Amino acid sequence: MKLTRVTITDYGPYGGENPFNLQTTDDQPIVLFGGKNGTGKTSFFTAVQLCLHGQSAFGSRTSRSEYEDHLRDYLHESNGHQATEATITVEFEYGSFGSTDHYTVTRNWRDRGKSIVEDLTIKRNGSQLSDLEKDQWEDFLKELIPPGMSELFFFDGEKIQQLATAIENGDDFQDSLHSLLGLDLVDRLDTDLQIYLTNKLDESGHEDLAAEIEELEQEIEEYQDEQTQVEDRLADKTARLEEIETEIEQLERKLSQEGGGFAAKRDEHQERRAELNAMIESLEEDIRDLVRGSYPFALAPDLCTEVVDRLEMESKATAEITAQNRVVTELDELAVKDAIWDDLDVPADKSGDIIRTLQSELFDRLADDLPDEIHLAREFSERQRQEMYTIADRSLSEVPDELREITDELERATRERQEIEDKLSRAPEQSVLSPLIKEINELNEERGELKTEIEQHRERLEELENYIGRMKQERENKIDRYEDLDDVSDRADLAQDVRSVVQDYQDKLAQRKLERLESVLTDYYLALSNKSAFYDRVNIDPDEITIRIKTVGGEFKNQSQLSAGERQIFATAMLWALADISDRPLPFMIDTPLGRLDQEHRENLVRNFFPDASHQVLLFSTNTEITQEYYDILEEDIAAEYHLIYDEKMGQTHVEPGYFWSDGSDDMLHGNDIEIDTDHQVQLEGFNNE
Amino acid sequence: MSKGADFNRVKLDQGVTNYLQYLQSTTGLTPNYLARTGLCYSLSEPRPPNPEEYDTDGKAINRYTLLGEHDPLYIAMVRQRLINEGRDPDEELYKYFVAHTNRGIKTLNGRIDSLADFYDVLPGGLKPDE
Repeated sequence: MKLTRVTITDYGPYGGENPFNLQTTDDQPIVLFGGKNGTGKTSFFTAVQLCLHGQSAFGSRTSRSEYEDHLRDYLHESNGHQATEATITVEFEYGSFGSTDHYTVTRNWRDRGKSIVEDLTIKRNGSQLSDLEKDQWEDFLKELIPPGMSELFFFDGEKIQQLATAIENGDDFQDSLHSLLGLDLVDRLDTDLQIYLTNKLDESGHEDLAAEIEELEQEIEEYQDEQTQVEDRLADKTARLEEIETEIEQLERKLSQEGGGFAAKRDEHQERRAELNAMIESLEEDIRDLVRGSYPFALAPDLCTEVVDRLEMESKATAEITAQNRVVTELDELAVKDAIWDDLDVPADKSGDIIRTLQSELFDRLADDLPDEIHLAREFSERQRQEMYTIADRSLSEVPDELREITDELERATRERQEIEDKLSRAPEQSVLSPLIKEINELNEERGELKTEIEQHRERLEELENYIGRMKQERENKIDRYEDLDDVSDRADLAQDVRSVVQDYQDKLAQRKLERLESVLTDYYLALSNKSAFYDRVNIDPDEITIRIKTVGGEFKNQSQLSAGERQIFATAMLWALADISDRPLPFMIDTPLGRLDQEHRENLVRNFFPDASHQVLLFSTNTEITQEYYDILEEDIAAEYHLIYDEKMGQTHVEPGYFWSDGSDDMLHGNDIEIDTDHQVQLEGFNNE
Repeated sequence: MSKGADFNRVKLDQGVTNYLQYLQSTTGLTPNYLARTGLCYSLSEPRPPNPEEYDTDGKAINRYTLLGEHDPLYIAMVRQRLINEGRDPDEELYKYFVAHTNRGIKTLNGRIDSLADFYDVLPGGLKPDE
């Protein structure tokens, strides 16, 4: 990745639009920023991070409101005027899979009083990303340039100081090294897998479920067999019924032709008989309804009442036990509340006695006739218990009366029907009629039986359909669960495999990274150290992650034995090496860390580190760090220079080409105005080194 | 499958299954309702049933079909009865549940010939005017 241009508008000390052309080449990788303290070097630094990483630029624990506070703080303020809007645009080239894309990332935010409205746009090669939704853009940037990774490439004195201190303290250093090596991601994956495994493997009972499904299937099959049988029988009976009804009709017609007056009376009886049949059928159905409902409990009223009493008593007892416990705890709490005792005229040493007396008294009152144990109520939920009370009450009080009424009526109707049957069967003494009547009676009897049977078959079929439907549903549910479990155990196996691979990978990765770190760090440290003739190499113990420096004489020196300046150099070499082995070619942004270093170390950094740190280096310096002497050393490697000048009258920073004493190119710009090139294809002369 | 307090299916005695069929033909009620009635009828008898008397070769009924929505009260009654007799209601629930159901159906078989008889078999205390 290579920055090509950064434009900062109304941000920090930068008022108005400030474009920075950052084009560099392999021969001239450095862009030098000169500025005294407070001119906006660090602001430039944060602007780039903020533009690329948004909220996560301030660390992963920054809340939204903290982030908005930061954004508000960064709005430019000068001459008593506070900007309400700021924009940062970062343009960069990013190579992947052999081609190079040009990205333009613009982050703009506006202060709307209560809240900050933030807007992010990303363009790739001039057009907006079309393959991603807008809300995925932040994530896209995070993948392109991971915030944790970019940390490595933003050097400032503070960070190097921190790392130098961490090296001194040992323990913290191991942790931060782990995360700097990118191993914490693998750690997290391993932890996630472990959590996944513990969660998923709880679900057992696989075999039981299979047995239950089989049992259900058998049951369904049995019911389906019965269904077929009943259907056949129903068809037979219905056919026979039709036959009988035709026969009866014919016989009745014959009878009425020959019977005369008797026939009229007979019709009346038959009508009444039909009414009675319907009534009896409906009464019988009423009785069946009762039996299907809560009737059975009425057969064992004593036990039923005992259960209800027991449940009520146990529920009450449970409540009392709760109350007892509450009394004790509440009084315990009161005992230590001084405010209560202060208001009462009770000597301090008596309060304990009072509380104990009250506790024991209340405890005994509540303990009155508690059962030995709670054995029935705990088997049932509160709702189930309430339902039981209702059913028991109904079956013992209402059901017997209802059943008695229906039964009485049924008996009356049955008796009447019997009388009518008798009348109907009493044929007049006519030899022609009596055989007819006899036959009709027989057929009627058969018809009655058939009708009952048909009715029963129909009911049974309805029930069977219900059962089968319910069982099929139950079977489906169980099969679903069974398949889920199947799936889960497959995935668990897979997760277990992945875990062992991950652990393997982690070990190997750590080992390889540490080996590479050791060799790269050795090179860099020796390049920067002023004792390179004395030190032979850096030695990292992969198990303990301790770092020692081996001298030419074969002796080992711990980092704690290094001086403060040496530690700073060591930390710089460490960051450099870590950035190198991260395999992400990102530009270095270095806020000169020369502060505590001696002459020799400074020169080493200027000669060996700044030009070689990366393919692109943004170097920020005051006039006391990159001095004329060092500037001369670096000059060949510099692609562009910017001088940041703070205008106290205006309260803002001006950007000019050139460094403190170099004007950049003479034939370019005059005065304090920066000419703003709105088209980045047109490069400012003197900045362009291609 | 273990059957203490937790069971999904009940297997009845072969002879009892025959009674059930007969009762079904005279009352028009399906076996599950008759079995419930039998269970309660047996629970009202002071003498405990003998589980050894019955086989498991007869009809099998799904627990939900058998007890329906009133399941908790039926189970509570059997539990209470076991507690009263000093038995472990968790260990022996299924055993005695089936035994009562079998015995109850068998007894009902002699007492119920038609729907009108359901009132007759109610205990006297619940029939106010007699």
